[in-house]
Amino acid sequence: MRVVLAVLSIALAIFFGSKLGNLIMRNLSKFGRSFASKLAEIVKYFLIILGVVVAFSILSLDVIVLTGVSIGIFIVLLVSLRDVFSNYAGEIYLRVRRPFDEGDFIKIGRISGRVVSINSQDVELVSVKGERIVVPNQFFLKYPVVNVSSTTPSSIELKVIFKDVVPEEARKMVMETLNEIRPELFEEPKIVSISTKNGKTEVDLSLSVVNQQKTRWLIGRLSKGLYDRGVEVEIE
Amino acid sequence: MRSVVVGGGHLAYFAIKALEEMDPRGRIIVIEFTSEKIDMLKKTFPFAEAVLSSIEDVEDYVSRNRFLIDVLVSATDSDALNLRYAKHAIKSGVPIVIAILNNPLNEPIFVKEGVKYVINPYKTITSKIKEVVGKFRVNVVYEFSKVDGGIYALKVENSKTLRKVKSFILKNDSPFFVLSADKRIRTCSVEDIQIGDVVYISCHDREVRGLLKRMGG
Repeated sequence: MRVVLAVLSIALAIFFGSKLGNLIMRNLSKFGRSFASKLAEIVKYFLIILGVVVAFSILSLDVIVLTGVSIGIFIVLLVSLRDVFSNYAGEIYLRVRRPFDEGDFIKIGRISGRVVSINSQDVELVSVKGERIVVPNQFFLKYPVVNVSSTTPSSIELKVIFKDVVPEEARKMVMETLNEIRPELFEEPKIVSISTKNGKTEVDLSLSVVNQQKTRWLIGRLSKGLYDRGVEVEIE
Repeated sequence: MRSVVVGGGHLAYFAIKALEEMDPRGRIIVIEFTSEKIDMLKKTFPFAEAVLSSIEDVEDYVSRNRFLIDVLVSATDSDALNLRYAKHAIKSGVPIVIAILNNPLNEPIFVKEGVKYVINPYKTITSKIKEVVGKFRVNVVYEFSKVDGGIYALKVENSKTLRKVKSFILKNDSPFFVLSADKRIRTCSVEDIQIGDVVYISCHDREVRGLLKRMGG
């Protein structure tokens, strides 16, 4: 009789685990299919383990020992996988609160970049320099996130330093070069100021771009354009 | 601004026109799959660069130029391809990715797959018909792309609706204007809204849904 009850408890646990799993899948799919299926699996296996523990207790194995062993395993798992759990908690926060979406440009701590993918353990970004950055989800629970709107053009401030070139000539050359790169910019480029320091002419520029990853390419094009005009410059 | 439009059909035509209008000095690259359409595009849009590509090579082109592309408009004649290219562009880090639908029923699929800006060219049909016939309670006049809201027309048919609309505007502090039954467009205070007016309100989508529920619609 006890064996029958034990088998029944496991069967019931499997049945309810799978039913609850389906229910979670149906109701939480709006937060992402993979997220919902993962949560459904966790709940399902938790119920099955619970069923097994109940079955053992029906079979008259010492409940206190079993409970103690279960709690012990649980604590060991929790401690050893605390980062993994923390990342899952981060994922729940990201899916429910939705502080940003794929494609948004975000800043978290000293890291900034465009969100390429939001995964169960991490968020993948592409930095302005084009580097792939993987940020563990737990970071989003610890640090404030700044969501710089995905489509807002940003302004790049550059300083072009000429040696032995008078300001008027520097302005003319910079304008000609800017005209060449204008099709890549969001708006007309602006010369903010021109000044002379220690015999060097400094031209401050403001360029508006949508894709921040373009910055390095623009600096390269700018120095090449000026080099083709016979001057070597420093760009900061 | 560097914009890439994938596709050379009628959907792409409007996208290219808009991009040129926004940024006449910008760079527009149109990727097409047939040489005949490439020739047509070169004639129709002499300011744009028409690139002949195979269906399979578009993703490679986007990957190679991902640092430079500011806007990608996926506007082929196939929604499957549009979704594929839009998803790839988002993954590649292109800042603005827009997909234009051929079949409006596919819109939820695009949204579910994470494409934020989906243009459904057929959306205006419903609101236009409602506006022309003039029989509606709430008409979606315009939906914002970056905010979950828009401009909604509410027809004040009776005193009950008038009361609900007035309390809605006061509660949400929504900006509004009125189109009177005598076809006059006017701004007025909430108290001056009358039965027979059509009130154009700008608010969040969830707020107008709440109002509809309260009005029993």
